[in-house]
Amino acid sequence: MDAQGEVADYFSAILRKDNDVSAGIAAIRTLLHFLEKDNSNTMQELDNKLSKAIAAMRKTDHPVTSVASGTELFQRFITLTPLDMSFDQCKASMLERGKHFLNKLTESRDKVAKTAAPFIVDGSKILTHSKSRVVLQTMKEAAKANKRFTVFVTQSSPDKSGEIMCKELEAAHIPCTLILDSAMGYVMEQVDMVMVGAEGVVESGGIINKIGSYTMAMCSKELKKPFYVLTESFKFVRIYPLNQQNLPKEFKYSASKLQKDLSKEHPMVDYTPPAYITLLFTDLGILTPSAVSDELIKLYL
Amino acid sequence: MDFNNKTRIAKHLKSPNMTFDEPKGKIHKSFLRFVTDVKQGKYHGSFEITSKTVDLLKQLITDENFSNAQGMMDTIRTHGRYLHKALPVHASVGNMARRVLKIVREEYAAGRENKSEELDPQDSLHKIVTSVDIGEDYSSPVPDLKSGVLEHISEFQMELETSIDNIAQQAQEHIHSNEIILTLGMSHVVESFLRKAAAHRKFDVIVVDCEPLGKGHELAVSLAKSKINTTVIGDNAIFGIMSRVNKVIIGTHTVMANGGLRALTSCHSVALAAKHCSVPVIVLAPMYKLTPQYLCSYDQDAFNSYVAPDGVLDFSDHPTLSQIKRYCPVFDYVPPELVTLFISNTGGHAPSYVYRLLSELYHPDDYEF
Amino acid sequence: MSRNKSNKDLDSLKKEDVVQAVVVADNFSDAFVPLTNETPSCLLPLVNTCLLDHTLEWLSNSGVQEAFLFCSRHVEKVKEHIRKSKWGDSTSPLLLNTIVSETCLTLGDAMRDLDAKGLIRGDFILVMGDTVANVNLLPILEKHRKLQKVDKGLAMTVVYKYAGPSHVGRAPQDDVLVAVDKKTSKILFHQKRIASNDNKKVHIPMEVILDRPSIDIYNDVIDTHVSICSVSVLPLFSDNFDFQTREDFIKGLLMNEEILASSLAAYCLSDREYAASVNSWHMYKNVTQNMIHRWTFPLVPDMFTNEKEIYQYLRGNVYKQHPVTLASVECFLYIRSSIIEDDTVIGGGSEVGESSTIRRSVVGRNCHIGNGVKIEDSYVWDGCIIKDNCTIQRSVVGSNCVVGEGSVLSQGCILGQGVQCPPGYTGNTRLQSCQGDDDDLDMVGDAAYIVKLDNDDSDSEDDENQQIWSDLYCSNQIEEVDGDSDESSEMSDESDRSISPVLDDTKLFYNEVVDSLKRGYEDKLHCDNLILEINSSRYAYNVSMREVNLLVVKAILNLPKLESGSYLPQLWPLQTYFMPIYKNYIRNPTAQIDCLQALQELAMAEQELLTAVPKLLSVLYNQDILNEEVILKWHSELEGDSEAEDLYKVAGPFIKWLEEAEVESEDESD
Repeated sequence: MDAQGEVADYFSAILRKDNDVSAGIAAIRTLLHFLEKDNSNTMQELDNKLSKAIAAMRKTDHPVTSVASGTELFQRFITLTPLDMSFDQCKASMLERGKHFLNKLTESRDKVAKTAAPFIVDGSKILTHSKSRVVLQTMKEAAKANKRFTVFVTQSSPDKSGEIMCKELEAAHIPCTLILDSAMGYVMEQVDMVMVGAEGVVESGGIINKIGSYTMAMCSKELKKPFYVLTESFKFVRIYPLNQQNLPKEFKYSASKLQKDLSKEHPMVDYTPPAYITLLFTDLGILTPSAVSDELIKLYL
Repeated sequence: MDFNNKTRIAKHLKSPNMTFDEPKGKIHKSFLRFVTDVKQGKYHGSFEITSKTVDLLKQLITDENFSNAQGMMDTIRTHGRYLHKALPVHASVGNMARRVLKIVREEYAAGRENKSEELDPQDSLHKIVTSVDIGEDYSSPVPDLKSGVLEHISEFQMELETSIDNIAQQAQEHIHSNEIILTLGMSHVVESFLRKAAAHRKFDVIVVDCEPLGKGHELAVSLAKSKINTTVIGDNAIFGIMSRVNKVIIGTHTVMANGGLRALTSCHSVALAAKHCSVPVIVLAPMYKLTPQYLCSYDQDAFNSYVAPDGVLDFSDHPTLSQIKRYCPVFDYVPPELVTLFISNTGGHAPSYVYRLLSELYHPDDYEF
Repeated sequence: MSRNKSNKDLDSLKKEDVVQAVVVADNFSDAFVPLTNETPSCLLPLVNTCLLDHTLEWLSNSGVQEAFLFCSRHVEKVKEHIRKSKWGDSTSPLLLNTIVSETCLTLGDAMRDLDAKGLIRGDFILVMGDTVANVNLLPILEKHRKLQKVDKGLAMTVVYKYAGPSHVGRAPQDDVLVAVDKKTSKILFHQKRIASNDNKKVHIPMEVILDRPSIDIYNDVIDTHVSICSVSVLPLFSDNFDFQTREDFIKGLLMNEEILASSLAAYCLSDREYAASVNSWHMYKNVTQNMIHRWTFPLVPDMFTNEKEIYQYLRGNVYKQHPVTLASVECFLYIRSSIIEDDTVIGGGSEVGESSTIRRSVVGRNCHIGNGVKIEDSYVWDGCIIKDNCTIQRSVVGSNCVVGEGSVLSQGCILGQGVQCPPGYTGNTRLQSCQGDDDDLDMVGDAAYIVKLDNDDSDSEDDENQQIWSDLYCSNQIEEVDGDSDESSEMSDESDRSISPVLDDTKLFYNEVVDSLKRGYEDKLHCDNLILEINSSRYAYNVSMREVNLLVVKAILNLPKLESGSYLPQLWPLQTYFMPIYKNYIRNPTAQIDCLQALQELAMAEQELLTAVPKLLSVLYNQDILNEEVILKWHSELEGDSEAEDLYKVAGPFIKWLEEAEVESEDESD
């Protein structure tokens, strides 16, 4: 149990120290750290311990979706390690490759920004929801290329993360306007496209993102505006939600609220079905929603 | 939006394909000539341009000497980039360079001693997780690479030549007796497709004329000669007649990576009318028309081409000449949700499946030259 | 497109006949002064590519395999250009031969030179080096050959393009009225409309209409200066030294059809085809606009085949050249918060500053345009520096000019290459960068001198210059209609200004005759040559024989007035000198009446001449130019005319003598 507490602290510390790290990456870093420190003797033991560590992280008050996808990926990484040597050697190679793996994941945001930036053309108006690091990065990239565009950012209740987004855009000298969540429909007619990030991408090609994304996607569909999702590939999760109720509870509510009466609580995320998504920009390239399941099948087959 | 009236131009993006300045000497003369000829309209239709491109690339590989696969690929890439830059509208030209690159990669992989190492072209989650080094440098010497590649290209040329026939072979599966088919403009694929179907079934064809560029009447004349019941209608009658139509069958200039089309103007109107009346839209697209490009904006560089506005307004119509703006764009963009089915030489595909076909056709590293 | 067929057309032409074209590099005029001081006219840029390249591109597109480039001025520059361009390359689809003849001053000279060199083997295409076109020439050539089979004498097919009577694409100097036989496409009548502008009437000779089932009379065509020539054209030029221009040739051929046994055919381009020769600022502006509007497709900026010149085509007919990397120096288009509106072309490497506006203009490569600059309907060539807050309207700024801060260039201001306009300069004249030969040019700045156009010849030239000056802006009226209202009101008084008095041909002809005679007398030229010159002017201006007689006599009698010193002493040597001219023109009684008419008109106006009338009459009588019957008839008609009373009296003694002499001779015969 100690170990689990340590893991949770380490994980929270990473997120506290570095604002620029996504929860998924932080979870993987924590697990790598855990692996380094770990003194298990068999694969089975290691696996068990990892599962416990993962459970500990999921109980923290951080967005669970990307933790889930990141850790799942890590577990897959462990299982795919060739086992034709002694356990120690195996662990060493695991650590070695783990670093490589982490590097690749950290590069992915730049990759996404590079693929998506050309879609911001000079003079466009973009609507975005809440705060997304990859959307911010993409916009900075486009601004660096001397394109002039304006951004509308929703305030994004209840945590008002949109306000942070707005400040960061202003710091990058990108003209932006903070709007009420309820003004989505009002603004939609004047924007050229919608760009959002995602906490998780599910097997259907739909996304799990900050509450309100679904509303935004429906509005954009109605007004025929392209709805672009910018996301790193480690956010792909192996679930297939059919509707909002179908989403796992721990995804929707932070761990501390799960004990309370959920009917009185606000869900943190919603599920946007693939039909509303025009394209997904990932570090694997530009994907149509239907390509997501292909990727997941390739990995978990 | 005020951008409709005024084009404000920001300091220009320094994107890679714009700042590339290829030393002219490196480009084979036949390629320079080819570009000039294409620009001057000496080739008819995209098929001619496409097959000519493959011929040129094949000739290039035959003529030049390469120490290894990397050198060969560099040369092809240089020429491919040149063609792509000089003829941005003709996507199939770039596609052919990509295809040939892919052929070189395949031949290289096949020729390597270590055949067990399979080269999965896709950058995938799987690869990230398994951390396979993609750092293949194609520098190892492979015996008979050149002859292998040339042979492979010849096979590909065969495939190219038969692609229209292959599409036409599928006609019977899609056209049934007494159906009313709507098509537009002049497309050789559509022409042979309908002819093939007419050999077995009886059906009516409505051809949208597509003024001023489409030459729909040419298609109509040709179909009528093969005893197909043909009606020509003007562009303005598209919506009116759509409710009577059973199927829309059209050709296209390019299929974009998301399954959208860059097709002759009027195609969007046809597709929208078809959607309204729930009429299936079938697009005949040989594989070489699939291109790994997306549409970012309708004003996108080189998405459209504009020809002399004589079809819109006569030059001698003087008093109006100086006060009216005239445009004559060649292409429409048709979004993928308006397309029901693509028929390529390998069979029928849904628009959402185009990305998959692309990943089989070209290596993702070659998407951007 | 019709051009798609060019390959097949090519095959259909017999292998051994190579399609040849003659490109005349010079326009033999000073329409573009001072920009043509150092540069040949064919190398002036139009939409950032020089005219010659446009012409050659078109020729090679339209199936011409061999071209002869005829250079006469700035030969080295033309050669240098060709060497550097793709035309000098071994892979060039067009075989280009350069012919140099620095002595040529007119198109006629060039043709004669070509004839002497004997390079042309068959039918050829004659174009000016400043032609912008997209028409496929092979069908026209085919048609020419077909007509040739029927009419052996067919010398030239003249290519016309439809454009309504007040079409903006019409330049005043290309305004023609043509009558064509509908069946044979033969040109029957050809007249520059400028002559008949004031009376709005056209006189078409009866014989044109007689004996033909149907003729077409075109008022709505413009001459494209493109022609398909039979091989007989060159000898025709050689045989007729008075053919100086293509116009002379057409007129001469129509006038003397039987003698020269040659005819002309017309070919009208369809709406799909475009051809125009850029021989004036008016045409420069029109062709630029047409190219921007893509009438010349595929010859449009974004289709130029030079691989380093890639243009991006944006909404509103804005063309922007892509940045190019040149020797590790990054050049790119740098435009911020500036507004580039409709119909504009901007070359690569140019910078446009804050809050500058560019409308309906062309900006060359590597130009630096400062902040708050306004450029409208203007052409700024490569490498110019336009400092802050300048306004440039309807002007041309030659390459590498520097326009100082706050300058205002307007209404047909033309800056030659390298002019450095001082800050705050306001003007609408032509400036050049160096003094040139004469050093009496007005200086405006360090390298800015007001161009003096040669207008000492006669007042008519002056008017012509006026016309060229106004070319650039007079045609803007229609385009301005859509502009702001205050601008259009400004335009309306401008248009008043721009209508310069139109000279009728007769007057022009008279001026030319006076010039010839004066020069002839000074240089002691042989009268036969002068007669030749007068005849050629006569063809050029389409003047009737009777008018010629009248005007020649007038000119001779008026000559002493132009010289300093008293009238009479100079009159007599002149009369003796020009006697052969009298003899040539005054051949029959009608001509004699004309001669007397001239004498009468002048004598009534000129006192000194009046006193000399008897002597003049007797001289002309003794030389057998006038015969007595005519003189007597003329004199009797003068009787009772109050205005001619003096003349009647003065001539009296001579008439009396004449009558007596007549009686005497009658007596003798009895």
